[in-house]
Amino acid sequence: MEQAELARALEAILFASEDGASLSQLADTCEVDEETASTALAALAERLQASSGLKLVNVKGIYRLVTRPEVAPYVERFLAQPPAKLGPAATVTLAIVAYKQPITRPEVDEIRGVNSAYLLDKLERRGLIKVVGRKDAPGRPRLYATTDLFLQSLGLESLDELPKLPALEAERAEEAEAKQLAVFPEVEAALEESSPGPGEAPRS
Amino acid sequence: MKAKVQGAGVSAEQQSFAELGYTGFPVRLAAFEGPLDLLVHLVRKKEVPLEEVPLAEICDQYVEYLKEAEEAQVEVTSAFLVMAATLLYLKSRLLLPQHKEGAVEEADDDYEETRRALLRQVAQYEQFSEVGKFLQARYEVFGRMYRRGAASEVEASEYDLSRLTVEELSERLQELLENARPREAKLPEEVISLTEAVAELRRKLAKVKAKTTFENLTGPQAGALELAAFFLGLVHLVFMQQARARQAAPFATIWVEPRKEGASGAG
Repeated sequence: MEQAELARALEAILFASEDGASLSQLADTCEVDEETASTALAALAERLQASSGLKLVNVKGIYRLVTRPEVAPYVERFLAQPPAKLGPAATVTLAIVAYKQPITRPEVDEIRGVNSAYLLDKLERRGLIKVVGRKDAPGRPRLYATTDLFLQSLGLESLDELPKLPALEAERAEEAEAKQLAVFPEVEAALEESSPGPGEAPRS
Repeated sequence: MKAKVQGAGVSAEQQSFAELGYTGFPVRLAAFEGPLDLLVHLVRKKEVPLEEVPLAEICDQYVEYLKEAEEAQVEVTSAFLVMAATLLYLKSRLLLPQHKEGAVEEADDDYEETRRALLRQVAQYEQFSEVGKFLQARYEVFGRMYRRGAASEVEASEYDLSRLTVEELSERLQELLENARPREAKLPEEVISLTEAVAELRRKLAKVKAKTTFENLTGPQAGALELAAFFLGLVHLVFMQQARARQAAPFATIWVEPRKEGASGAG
């Protein structure tokens, strides 16, 4: 298949697929190898860039067609949807979830110093975060993590593209160091779970 | 000072407490009589011993008070919760064992650790708020790229309730409840048993000379369930050779004819 034709076929498949498609899916469907498909996708992205209201995005290896940000006002008017905006409190909360996921509400509260229930709820309704499970702790609090829509909405391909945070890195290094210092890490872990340990003074 | 306040009209007392800025729910205990917030204040200053403050009794009195109050005063009820929680907290601290040996050393360690944790938390928060700005800027661009099917995913519009007072909310709810139409009650169709249907058919057939229609036997008002019961009854009578039934074509009139010769048990 000629490359221009392949690019058109890929465009059509991505248009028809609501949830997007992976490179291997696309290559298999068109009976070409992944490298050829990848080249054709790049050509498609370029063609769209030049003359389309759509844009090709790749989030965690899933390709999708989305509307271009430049034409967003028209799309929003059609959808009767206000433009995407987040206030400072919401973005801090989102940042905390993004960097410390999976995380519970009490843990977010602790970092922010205030109750975050409303903001987490709002971010969840926007589809930016979701509940991925429950923490094995008293009350079994829900664990939140970011979604693929979060990555798309920030124009990121994966979480690795988030900027590094020195303070967080330092904390992680400290934790790793503490784990290395322990002679039998698995014993430490077991002791942590069964509290209070023998010989430990009662906590006030 | 033991804050044992006793004497004349409660209202006069409350008046004077109110002048001092204490407007809490009035409690009457052996050790203290007066507004709850004053009690908490005195407990904190150790002027009323906490051991002499029975929380259960305060709660009982509060429940009584709520039952008698004609309409809930939001300020009083929420203030009560704060005060009661404060007392409960103070009391729980009293009940927990305290460190004795090496308490000072440990406290120093604790302090140092707390300080470090706090500093780290502040540093972290600052970074999160920095990166938050980065996320915000990107979200305002890339958050406006819509996928297929976005039209059906549009989130339910948010309502700004921040300016609504509890009273307004409560009034609105009352209105809604009053306007809500009661559900239309539908009486179940009259049900007739097969036995009743057979008896009824026999009674009517006894008066028929030559033949009649099924509709005549059931009456024009019969509902679906009734019709089914009568039809089964008719089938029974035919089976028992007490009647003949004929129908020229599907859905055509059913003609019914009593059979005297086989009606051995007909009454």
